[in-house]
Amino acid sequence: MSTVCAQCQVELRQRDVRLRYLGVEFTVGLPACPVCGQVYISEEVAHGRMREVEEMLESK
Amino acid sequence: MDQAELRALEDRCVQDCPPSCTAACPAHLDVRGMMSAVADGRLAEALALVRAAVTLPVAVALTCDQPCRPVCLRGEHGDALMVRAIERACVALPATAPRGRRPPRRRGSVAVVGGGLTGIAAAQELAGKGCRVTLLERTGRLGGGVWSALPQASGTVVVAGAAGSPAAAVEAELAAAVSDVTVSYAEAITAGDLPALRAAHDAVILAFGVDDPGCLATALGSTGPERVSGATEIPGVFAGGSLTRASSGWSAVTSMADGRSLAVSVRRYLEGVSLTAGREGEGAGRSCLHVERSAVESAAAAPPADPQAGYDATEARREAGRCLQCACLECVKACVFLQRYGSYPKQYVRQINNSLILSPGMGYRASKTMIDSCALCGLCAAVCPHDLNMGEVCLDARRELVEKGYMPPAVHDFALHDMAQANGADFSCARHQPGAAASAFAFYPGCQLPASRPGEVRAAYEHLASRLDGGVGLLLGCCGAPAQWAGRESLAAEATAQLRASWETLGRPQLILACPSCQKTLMESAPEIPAVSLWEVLDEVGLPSGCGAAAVAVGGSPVVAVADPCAARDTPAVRAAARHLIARAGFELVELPWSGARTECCGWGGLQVIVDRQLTQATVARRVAEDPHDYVAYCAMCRDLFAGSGKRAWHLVDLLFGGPMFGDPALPGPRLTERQQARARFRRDLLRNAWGEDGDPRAQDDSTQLEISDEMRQKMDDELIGEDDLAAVIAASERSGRRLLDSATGHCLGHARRRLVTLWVEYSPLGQGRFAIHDTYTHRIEILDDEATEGRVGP
Repeated sequence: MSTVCAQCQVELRQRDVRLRYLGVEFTVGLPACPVCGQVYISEEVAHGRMREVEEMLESK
Repeated sequence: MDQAELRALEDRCVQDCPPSCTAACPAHLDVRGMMSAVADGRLAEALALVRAAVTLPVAVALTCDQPCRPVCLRGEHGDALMVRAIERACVALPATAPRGRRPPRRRGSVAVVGGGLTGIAAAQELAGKGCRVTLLERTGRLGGGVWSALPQASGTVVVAGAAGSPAAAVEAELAAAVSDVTVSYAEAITAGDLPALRAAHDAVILAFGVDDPGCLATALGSTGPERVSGATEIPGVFAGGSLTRASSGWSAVTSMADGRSLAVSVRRYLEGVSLTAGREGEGAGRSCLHVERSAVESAAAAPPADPQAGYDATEARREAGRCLQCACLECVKACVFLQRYGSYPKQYVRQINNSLILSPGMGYRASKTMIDSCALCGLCAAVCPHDLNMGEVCLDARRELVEKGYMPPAVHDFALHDMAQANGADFSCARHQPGAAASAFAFYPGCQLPASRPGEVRAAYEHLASRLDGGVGLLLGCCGAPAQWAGRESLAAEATAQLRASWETLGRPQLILACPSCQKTLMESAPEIPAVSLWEVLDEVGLPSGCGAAAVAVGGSPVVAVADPCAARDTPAVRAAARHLIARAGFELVELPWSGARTECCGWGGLQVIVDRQLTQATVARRVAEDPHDYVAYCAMCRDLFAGSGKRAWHLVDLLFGGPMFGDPALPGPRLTERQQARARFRRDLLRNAWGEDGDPRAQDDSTQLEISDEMRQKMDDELIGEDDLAAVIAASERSGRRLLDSATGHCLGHARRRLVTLWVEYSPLGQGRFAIHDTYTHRIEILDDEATEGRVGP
């Protein structure tokens, strides 16, 4: 998927994004709009790496 | 739960108890394991089990008096197993490699008086542990009672792959047993010799049998040796074997086991540790294992073709195959959830408590799905001989996890949100009967049935209102069961308080309940509220005139199987009323194998379907396979889950409030994610039609229309994403303009935080408030520095 930010009409670039789950904050490199900062998380990432992290934090 | 409570709970599961054969065997031979191995053709493994328990396996295999056979449960259905003959087939196996190197010599010299099986077994065990052992035998021949117990026939036996006479085989075994022992064929030891013998050795074992020419028994004192350890009044002198069992007759296995036990006592004595601690279970006893045998078919023993030669491997295999493999596992047989984790409650209780007590974090990871996916239905307790209820164990664990903050909020979020909606403005209400100022009764249909069967619920209400005096009010809401099941006690208490307040608003009427889970929940959480099931009331006040149309529509007097809900397990009156009504509606009724007090949950109970959808599918698959007839359920979730799996299933209201409105048993009910809208629609329609209320204009103001394929609807249901969730994200995305664009497909991708998840929606605007949905997914992790999700959407 060649994804662009619909508002800024620019291609996404990788940037560090702050995430939080169950009170734990961490930073992950994700594609995002270089102008407005809007983040993109694909289904593959959501159901893959993100779910692994969720399960890990749920077991802490 | 403290350790004592935990232990008491574990002890109620008897699956770990040895079967009756093993309990009755003084050596605790694993007869069941031996039979299993032989039946599978694994004779070497069977022999290893024999050797583990029996010191002199050849002598025992040829002469054992088999205390296991009178208690063998196979004996109730055919003949008891031919245990000794099977042992004989095991010891016939060719000899394996010689034993490993000798153990290092350790402190201790021991004199053993008496060369019968007790003395030899004790001597061999102690020599094997490195003691210097002297065996004193007065007759000039080792073996004692074994010689008179040996088969008199002169035939041959095969031992360790070689054929020979029984006497020669035993002789060889005894000779090998004392290969590391100094054997002295001395005169009889007398009571007067004992002090010197004791002085010359670190310990003495007296195992001289029933003949006592030296009057040694006088040395044992008036009370005889201590029961467990065989310790006498003289420190370091132990006694056992036939001399203490003169009245019960000679037994090879008892003598041998006594010898092993005396060896344990001597080792403990030499090491200076307790002689008796932890030895309560030694020796023959009774089994506490529960074994269900009602379905066992009779099977007679198959004697060997050649009785002299005994069983060959094939015959042994057939005979061992008759073993019942005694086990309890009643609950595991009954429950897909308990089968899933490959063990049984004694182990599960320990695992769950380990996770709560020892290492809550990591342990929770190991057992979290187990704790959260039990349906809490109580079938395990109903079939357990000691009423162990895994549902109570799992629910207690959930409550503890919630209390300690270890329960991830997202686990039960969907169900709790669903409950909040049912107790919110969309659904909750309390009304007197139209035109009435008081309510002697109030119909409380629950939160699921109105979503599944709105027309029938309305018809039921109108019927009640027409037949009962004093006014029949209407109460809508959720009883709090989902919060109970999630372990959220304060939320459950809020739901109860809300219901109680509504009930008081109506003047404390008697509630008429259509949902068995509501009934069960309210009996526990609000016992002061008088409540009765809809089915009992209908059975009393009579059925509507159109009743029976469903039966006519499907032709003749159709046969149906009644599927009791798990929540009716303890309410036989409700179950009886349901059966009366089914018959009165013109249906013939058959019972499922699992029904009544032993009925099964559909998987909705305990929120299993929210936590582990696959487990619920397996539970439902088993349930619907029990009978080929259409099912009649009187729980909305049972009905809808059965029908969702392809099983034709009616709800009892379909049969009673028939006519053109009755539900189709083949059609699935609303999906989990469609229930909120369905129950809101029910309320809106009913209040408009019966009370003339216009309702909340907010509800009709929803102008976003979504085009969603069936495949996508299924995905949404699997991931517990509702249509209103999608609409909210799209509305926010369209309003703010913040969305992504796939330049190849032209699809928009919007996302927003929705309750406890971030929801992504891939869609295309179709104009005039309509949108096509292409995909949707969620994750629980929250994106922090992203303006699109900073403003939460919706609740």
